Amino acid sequence: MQPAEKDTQILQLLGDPARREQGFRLLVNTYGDRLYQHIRRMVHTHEDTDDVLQNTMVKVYRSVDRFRGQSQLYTWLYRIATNESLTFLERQKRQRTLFTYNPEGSLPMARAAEVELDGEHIRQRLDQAIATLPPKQKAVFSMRYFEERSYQEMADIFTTSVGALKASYHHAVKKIESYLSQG
Amino acid sequence: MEEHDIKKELDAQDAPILRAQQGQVPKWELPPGYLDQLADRTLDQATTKPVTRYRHLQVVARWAVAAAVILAAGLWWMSNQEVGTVEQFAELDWNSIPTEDLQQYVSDNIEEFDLDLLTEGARETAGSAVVPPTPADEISIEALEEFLGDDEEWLDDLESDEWF
Repeated sequence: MQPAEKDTQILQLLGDPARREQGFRLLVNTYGDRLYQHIRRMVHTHEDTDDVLQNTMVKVYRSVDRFRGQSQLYTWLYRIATNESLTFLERQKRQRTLFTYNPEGSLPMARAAEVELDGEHIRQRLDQAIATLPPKQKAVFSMRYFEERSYQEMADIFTTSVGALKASYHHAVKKIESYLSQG
Repeated sequence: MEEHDIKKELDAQDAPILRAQQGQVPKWELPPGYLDQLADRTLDQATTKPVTRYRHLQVVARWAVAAAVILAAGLWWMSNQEVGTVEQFAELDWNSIPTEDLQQYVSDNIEEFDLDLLTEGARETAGSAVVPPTPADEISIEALEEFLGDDEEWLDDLESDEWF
């Protein structure tokens, strides 16, 4: 089934009160993994990702009636997930101004055990590098580098200009490359 | 196509490490059954939220009632306190207060400067009991010269322009 057909099916089910739950479960199973990866690249731990993803899904469930289909379903979902992640990071930053905070130190210690495979090592190093970025740069970098979204798609999600996104991605690439080349 | 663009973009940005790793980074593995559990939890939360709001309102209402009770008790306590009124003060029998007590009060509470002001005020008030007025013609010339003669030098200390 093509993505567009699946989106249509999901929206039809969600629009039917009797099958709304079925439609929502299909939506979670279709997009949950991708949204999880996107959110986790921004908030870094499974526990925080789980909280943010659940809040995202609650908002999706409650506001799906207002989704007009003017944008693609995944664009709408990524917009909510990104906003939820940014809100979470902003709240976290406010809380951490009261305490001492080391962004790299906030990554889970258990992750050290993951440095067994090359792929895991790459992911861990990238995760540490991304943790040093400002929240919006994290989101932009994640969407472009991992999700391979076009700037136009990202502009729809972030509701900003392509030029601003290119500049943001450029800064993020420079910082991460510099971080990776040091270690 | 887009992936190709991303790699070219990384080349142009001179980011060889990111260029080499692009597309090679593994995803995080989700715990088994995670998405089903997520859907269950989300549906639970989405449908139980109004109850949470109602409970929140109940808590707010309890605090509001407690605050109102405390406020009412405070007002009642204040209204039952004995506070002196202007009438009660006016009815005070001043003659019953011993003179020594009055003098002690004045010496304890009024500085010398204040006392001077009170004295000057009393001089301007006819019939003042503090310092009786003295008619100028009852003071002898000798007494005035003696008084001024003691501190005559203070006139020399003043510059003439201070007078104008």
